[in-house]
Amino acid sequence: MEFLLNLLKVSVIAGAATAALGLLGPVLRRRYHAKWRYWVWLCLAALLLSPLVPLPKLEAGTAYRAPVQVEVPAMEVRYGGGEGLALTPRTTLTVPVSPAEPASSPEEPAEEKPEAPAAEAEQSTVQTPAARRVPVETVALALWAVGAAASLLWVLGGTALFSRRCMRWARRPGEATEAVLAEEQQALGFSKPVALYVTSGTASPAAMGLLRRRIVLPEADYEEKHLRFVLRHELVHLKRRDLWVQLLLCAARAVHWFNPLIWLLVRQARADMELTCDDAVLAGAEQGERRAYSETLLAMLHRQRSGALTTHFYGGKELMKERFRNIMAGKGRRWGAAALCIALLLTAAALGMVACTALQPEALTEEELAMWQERVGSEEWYGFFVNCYSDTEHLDLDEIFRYGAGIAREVTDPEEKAEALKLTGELAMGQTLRRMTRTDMDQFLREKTGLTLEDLAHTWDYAPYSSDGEVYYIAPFATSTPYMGNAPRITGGERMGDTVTLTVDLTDSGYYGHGGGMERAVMTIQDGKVASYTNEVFNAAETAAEEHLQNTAVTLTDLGLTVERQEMGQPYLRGWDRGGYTLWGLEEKLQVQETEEEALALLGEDWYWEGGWLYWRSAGSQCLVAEKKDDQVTVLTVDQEEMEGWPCFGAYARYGLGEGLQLTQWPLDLTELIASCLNMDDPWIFQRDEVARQYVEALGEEAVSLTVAEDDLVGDGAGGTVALMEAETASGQRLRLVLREASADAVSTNLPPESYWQVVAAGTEEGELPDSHIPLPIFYDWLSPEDQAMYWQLSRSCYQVDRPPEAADFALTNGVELGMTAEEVLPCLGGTPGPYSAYLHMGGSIGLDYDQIGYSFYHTPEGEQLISIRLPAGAELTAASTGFGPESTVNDVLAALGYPDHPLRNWAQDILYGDPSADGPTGRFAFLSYTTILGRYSIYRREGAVSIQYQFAGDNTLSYIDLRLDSGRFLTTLGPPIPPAGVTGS
Amino acid sequence: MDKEIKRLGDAELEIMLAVWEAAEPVQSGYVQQRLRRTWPLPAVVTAMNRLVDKGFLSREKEGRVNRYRPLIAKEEYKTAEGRSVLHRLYGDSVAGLVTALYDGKAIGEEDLQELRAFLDGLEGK
Repeated sequence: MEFLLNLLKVSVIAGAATAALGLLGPVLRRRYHAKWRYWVWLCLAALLLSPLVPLPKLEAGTAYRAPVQVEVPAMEVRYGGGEGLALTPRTTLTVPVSPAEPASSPEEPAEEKPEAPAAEAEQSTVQTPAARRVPVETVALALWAVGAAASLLWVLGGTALFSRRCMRWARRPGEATEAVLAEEQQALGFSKPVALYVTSGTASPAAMGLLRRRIVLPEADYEEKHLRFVLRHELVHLKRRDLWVQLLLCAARAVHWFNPLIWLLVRQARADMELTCDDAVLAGAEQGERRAYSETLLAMLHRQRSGALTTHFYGGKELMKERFRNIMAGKGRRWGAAALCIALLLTAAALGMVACTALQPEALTEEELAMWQERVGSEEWYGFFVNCYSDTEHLDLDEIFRYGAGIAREVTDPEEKAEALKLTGELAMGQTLRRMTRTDMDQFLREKTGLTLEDLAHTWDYAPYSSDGEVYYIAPFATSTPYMGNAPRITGGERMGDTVTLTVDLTDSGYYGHGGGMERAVMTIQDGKVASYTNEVFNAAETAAEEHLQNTAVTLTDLGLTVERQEMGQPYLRGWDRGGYTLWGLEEKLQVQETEEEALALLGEDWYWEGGWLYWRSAGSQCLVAEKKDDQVTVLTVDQEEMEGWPCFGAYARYGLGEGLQLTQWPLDLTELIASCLNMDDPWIFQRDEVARQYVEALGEEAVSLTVAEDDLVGDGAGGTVALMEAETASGQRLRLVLREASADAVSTNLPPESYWQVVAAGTEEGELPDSHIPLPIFYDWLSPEDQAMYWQLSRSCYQVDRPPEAADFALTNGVELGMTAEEVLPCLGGTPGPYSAYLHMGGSIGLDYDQIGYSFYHTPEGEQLISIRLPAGAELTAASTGFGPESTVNDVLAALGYPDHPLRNWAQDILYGDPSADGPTGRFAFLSYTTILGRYSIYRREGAVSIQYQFAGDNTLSYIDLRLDSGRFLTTLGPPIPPAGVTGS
Repeated sequence: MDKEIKRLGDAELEIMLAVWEAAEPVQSGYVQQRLRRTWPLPAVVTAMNRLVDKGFLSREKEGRVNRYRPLIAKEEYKTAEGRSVLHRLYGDSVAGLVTALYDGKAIGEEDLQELRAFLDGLEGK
């Protein structure tokens, strides 16, 4: 391969030199003798043959790196394997010949997975034979050799035939002629005589024979003066060993038969050979002699038979003119030694500047493979082996950074820690608070990929960050591992030039990033930087996705809209656990269907156009994709997952809708909202009352009065409240509107809390049952099935309650009054508050509050597990808060606390605190929990079907009492409304 | 059309060349002397008889000696040989590892005039 590349390099450079000299020809001809150019040709010819000669490698050359590096990857020709003929880079890795077989995923997805296609795929594997590979240089070498041989044979054959033809018809010349020959030979200093023949086998006088030199003359009567010149000319050729030069040129031409410039070179060389020969013949001659010589040349021209249609002389005519010019110009031109040197130096420089190397693939060493395998499991590198990407621009930052990527540092500054914990939430046991600066992240990315956070298509909004956006906070578990099951295995790797390729086997990997179905992937590292991580299915999916998006854009344009496509990133192609990734679902389907067309058909979802907005419905959930305003359509996002949405940095905004609430028709104009989402600094607030008013107006009515019937219908306090409002319209209608608040959870992002209200249900009359009396709201159809169900539930609870609240309910407060402290409240509830209290969470966990330290256990059929220890702000780590681990049981904790005999040790079976006779979860119990983040705590108590929650503000005063019926709906609220989540204190 | 002219071997051509050169019918001895290599006379006679069979020579007895006369003219044979495939490949041009006085085949009258005019023009300078 090196030989071929070298040959090519030399060929190109010599060809370029030829072309250059050809262009400069007229200029050079006038100034310089042909001799110097002739020497250039000779040197070039020698150069052209140099690849054939094994030259010793210059050891010093290893330090020098040519500025122009042409690196040609070793290629191979692959045929068979059902793919036909293909030219691909050579690889040491095994070449798969059939698409990845569908793997049986560990957990069968809900959709049917037919068995037949799997069998089909297996059959197709059997049918396709393995591909055969042939190194491309073998083919090229063979072709070259054939060409060179043919070219050489042509020349040699021609010579042999000519020679034979001449000699067949040859006869000895007359004595007179012999005499002239002898004179000329002597004048030129020939030691050995040269034979002369007269023959009709040649049209022009010629000299031939590398070893047995002879001159042939055509049959004719020669005047002596002509004869002399002719013989002298040919003798000069022989004396200068021009035939050997011819051999050199023909050999060079044969070796470079593929390069027409070399053919040109040889032709030029031969022309210059004649010119220099003429010069040698006429060395020191005067004009008269020169003229006579020219006349001889003319006289010697073989006359064409009259009647011949074409002249055979065209090539020679120009050369003859050139020769005449050269002859008559005689002296007066310089011997261009300098020009020769320059030309040769330039050529040498060109050669030195270009290095052609064939890149051979080499398998990675055991150490290198081991290194990469180690990286797969390391905090620093594992993230690159999770989700596929064809371009590191589309890295999933969450995978890269969620565990800290080896660059996260523990947060030590207590002030910072306190602030950060507000963002991350309380730490569970095993979590440590860590920080990463954008600068560090940029550097990390730059080292690994050559890109920075700015360059990437996605932003990382999964972790909270400081107010200046500089520091990210994460709270990874120390024992976390991204793998469920085995880590991906590096099964092979090779390097070719700057590129390293790794094959990764994922078959046994329970890697949550891939789930089932992805068997192998290939990672490419360019020049030490990660470049891509793909597999066949991913590539197919990516292509399909791109086409889909492209088709969409085309459709919009066809509709007469101006489409501006924003950077989409790869909305489809993320990891399995992200949920809602159509294309990973598609992966299965791809494997089952195995055609791209069918994959595209699956991607083609419904589009509909509503009120200025274009919607794309997929898999049951809606996603706003485009905004049309004044005929300008901006595609905002095609991301259909994470509908709870986080306003985030980035080229596009995903706006919060709150707990899966789908975007409905209302409000009609979201322009401002979108605009403010894109502008991260603007708070976006749609006041609840204002929304209600606008809604009524949208119905064509005017709201004369608006009252709040219920401020917090559901009141689960989980972020998102539902309010019931009544509106009286000018036309006398009474509307009952259910409004839902959708707000970003400001605990996790650093934006000020926003609230955005939306009417989700509306009715006209109180007491009517929805299914017969209440007309459906105008946007009922646009609600998702879940929202529709909620609507019914809300409607029912609006109009149908178990019983209205009674005075007796309020008696349950047991004399507790607003403004009391916890210590004062507890006695009212009965029982002596101990240093601990216990509660049973509906989910099956039990908490122990001891001296304000909370231990949470999770109860499963297998046993119990300590899952978190909560410390109040400023608490010191004591024996009571350390020394426990995931294996610790309630009994361990109780024993450590000094209560080995506490009844709670059998908590799973025991009745809860208070009343052993109470039955199950509806029995009486109370708890006191201290919540560090919000700086408040609450007492929660159930009495039969009524639950009461006493909430204390940060200053330890009772601020809120909720009475809740079994249906979960608060009947009433006493006290000021709870401030929105995220705002501490009161 | 022309009767088919067989191709002559090297030696046969040498003989024919000698015959063509002579102005009159020749004897075998005459030819023998003109051959480049020395051939024994019987060999020459055999060869010439073969040429008679091939139709290149006619043999006439003159007294006790045979005189040979060419039946096919030199030019005629040359033309015929020129039509062979190999000859067509290379034509009249000089080919291969050979240096010629000039490059090209035959020149036409027009081109010749052009060159002459060119040369005359140069002389003036």
